Amino acid sequence: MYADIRNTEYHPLVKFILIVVISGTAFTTTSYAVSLIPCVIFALLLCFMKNYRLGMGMLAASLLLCAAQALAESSPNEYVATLGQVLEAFRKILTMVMGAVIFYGTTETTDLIKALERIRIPRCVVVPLAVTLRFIPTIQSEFSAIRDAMNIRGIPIGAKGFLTHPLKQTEYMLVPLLMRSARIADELSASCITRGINSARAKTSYKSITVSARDYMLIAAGAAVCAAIVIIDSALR
Amino acid sequence: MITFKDVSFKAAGCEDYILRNINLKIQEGSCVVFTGKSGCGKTTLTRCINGLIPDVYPGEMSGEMIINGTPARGALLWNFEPICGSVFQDPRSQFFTTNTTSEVAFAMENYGVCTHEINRRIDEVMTRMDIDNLRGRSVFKLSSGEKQKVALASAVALKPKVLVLDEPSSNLDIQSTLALGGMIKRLKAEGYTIIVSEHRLYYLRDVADKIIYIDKGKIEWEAAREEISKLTPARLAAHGLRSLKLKDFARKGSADNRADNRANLPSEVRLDVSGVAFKYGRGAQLLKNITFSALGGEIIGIIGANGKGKTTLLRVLSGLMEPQAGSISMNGVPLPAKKRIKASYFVMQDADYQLYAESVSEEVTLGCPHSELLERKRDTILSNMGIKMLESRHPGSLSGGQKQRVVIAAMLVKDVAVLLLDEPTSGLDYESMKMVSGILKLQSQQGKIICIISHDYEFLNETCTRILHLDNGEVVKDFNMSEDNCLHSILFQEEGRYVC
Repeated sequence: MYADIRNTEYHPLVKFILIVVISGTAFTTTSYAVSLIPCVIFALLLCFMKNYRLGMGMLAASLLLCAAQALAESSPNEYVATLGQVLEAFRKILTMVMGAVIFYGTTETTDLIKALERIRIPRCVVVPLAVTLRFIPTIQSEFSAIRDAMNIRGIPIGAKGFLTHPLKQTEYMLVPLLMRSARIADELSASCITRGINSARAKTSYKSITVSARDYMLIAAGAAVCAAIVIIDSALR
Repeated sequence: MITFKDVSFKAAGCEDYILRNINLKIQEGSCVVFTGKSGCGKTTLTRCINGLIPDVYPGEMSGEMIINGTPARGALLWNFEPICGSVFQDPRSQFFTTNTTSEVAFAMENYGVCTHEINRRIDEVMTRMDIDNLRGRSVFKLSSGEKQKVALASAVALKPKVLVLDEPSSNLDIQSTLALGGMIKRLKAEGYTIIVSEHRLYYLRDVADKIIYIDKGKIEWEAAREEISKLTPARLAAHGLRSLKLKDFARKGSADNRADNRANLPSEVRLDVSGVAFKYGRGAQLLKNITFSALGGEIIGIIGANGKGKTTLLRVLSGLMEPQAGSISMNGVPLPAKKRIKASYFVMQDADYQLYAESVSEEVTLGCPHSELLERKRDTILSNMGIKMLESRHPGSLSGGQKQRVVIAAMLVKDVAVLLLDEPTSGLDYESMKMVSGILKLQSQQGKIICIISHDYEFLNETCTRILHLDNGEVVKDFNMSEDNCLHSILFQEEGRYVC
């Protein structure tokens, strides 16, 4: 996966806020071109993280949605024009999803826990969040294993099967996934508990999670990008 | 160090006691091995020691446990001081973080060790366990042996008094297992008290100070250091245990799986694999030039070190993947992937991935068109495998060995010509292993081609008629098992390393 990039030294909260703000600009802008800028930025970042398929794929999808929206809004029919709004919302959410993928791919789960704890978010919120994030790669690999097993059984999972027998397909995908997840969750909890996740002592960290010079530079770059977006947008209005 | 006085445990919601009146004493700095058949209670015993019982796995626990001088149980064992470090069976679901360095640091961080000390200990442990090259790597990209080393490092870095290992050699090949044994010996020399719950005993023969045999929750017998070497293979087999010496696995097996008998079998099916090459995306070339032929009635064991492409080969043969070069044909007719899927059945390593239905009987006939004949066939197969009484149970509620039987029953119902199995006996005790072996031999007598990947020497020796050794993407050795070919001498190379 995005293995070695996880060792970047940027503070998780700085990244998080920047990503939220940049995707947020997509919602506040009015012209098509400018609202695509965050999408392009994220696509470039994804490619930088060597995830070309996702980056280019999402960018292509956004461009298609943009074109569809333009087409819909130029139609005289009111309902079709409103559809354009829906497509726009969809596209902007897609941008946020890209931002989320970038955040997830560059952040180590334990760094996030530590950062959140430092700003006093209670453990009962932080630990479940961390476990959820931890499960994502697990579910990905479990899914592909389940798909293989079903192919062998002669019950291929795919678009065709989904259209003809949606409930059965869902059942065949979910049942083993749930069984495996329950088992993994048990084993994971046992592993964490025996390594003191519930210990009464205050947690420490092997590396310090502080805002450093690199983070300030990132903030400056992000601020510049947002300012540029706002300025270009108001100029084009 | 650890004393159990009349400890009994009954899991919440269960009627039977899993542990009954356990009394034992474990000396500080010793290595004790708990062994026994599947379901005997050895894992439960280790869970009492590391405190998962009764607080994480609820139930009624009676009796007294004294660890490190004070009576303690449950949360007291991990709430304040790290008394026990644990390593579990499946390294995949042991890692909480995704990076090896933070994984080793994880336990120390939870117990509030200061930053400087954490980093110092990480360096120390990684050097001592020889895993400096694994620093800062993603845990998803490690081999099983490497994962197990990182898991062990994470437990050892905490400097606990006791190390508890639950079937640590499950996913390891023979060479890695022996390396694990060496590691345990070194840790024992440093003063750790080590407790191992295991089926495979051969790598612990020189390390264990005591072997404790548990049956149905009671300690049946204990063997101290001097007596361990006197345990004969016959006695071990009688207790359902695996052999203590790798050489014992190579005893000349019964005549029915020998190559000379194959001449009497119907060999209608012929599989030809020629020049198969495969790699994942931009990864390494796992399979370079695989060429061999198989006839109906053969049981072929595929061996080789971990990560050398054995599973990949079976995935290609089963039709899940198409090779980038080479061809696979049956009886002279080339088979594309879709046809291979129909002609073969692949039993993968984890039974959990392969169980979907609500009941065992539904599970076993999944994917087959319904008919009277099918139902009768299903009933016969279930009875033969000894799981007829489980037919209305949900597959998720079964034990590991039972799940494996269900998966194999599903394979038998499909009735295809080529059977492919990946580590079918991993984690199974002696009896279950013999059962699987018996079933496969029966199938081969019906003229099927069977290919098995395994690290289980005993199983290979018992079952296979032919062995293929995979290394460097090619078949480097291909020999028939016969009276003269001893599996052990062929697999043990001159440099003192095992081939698989």
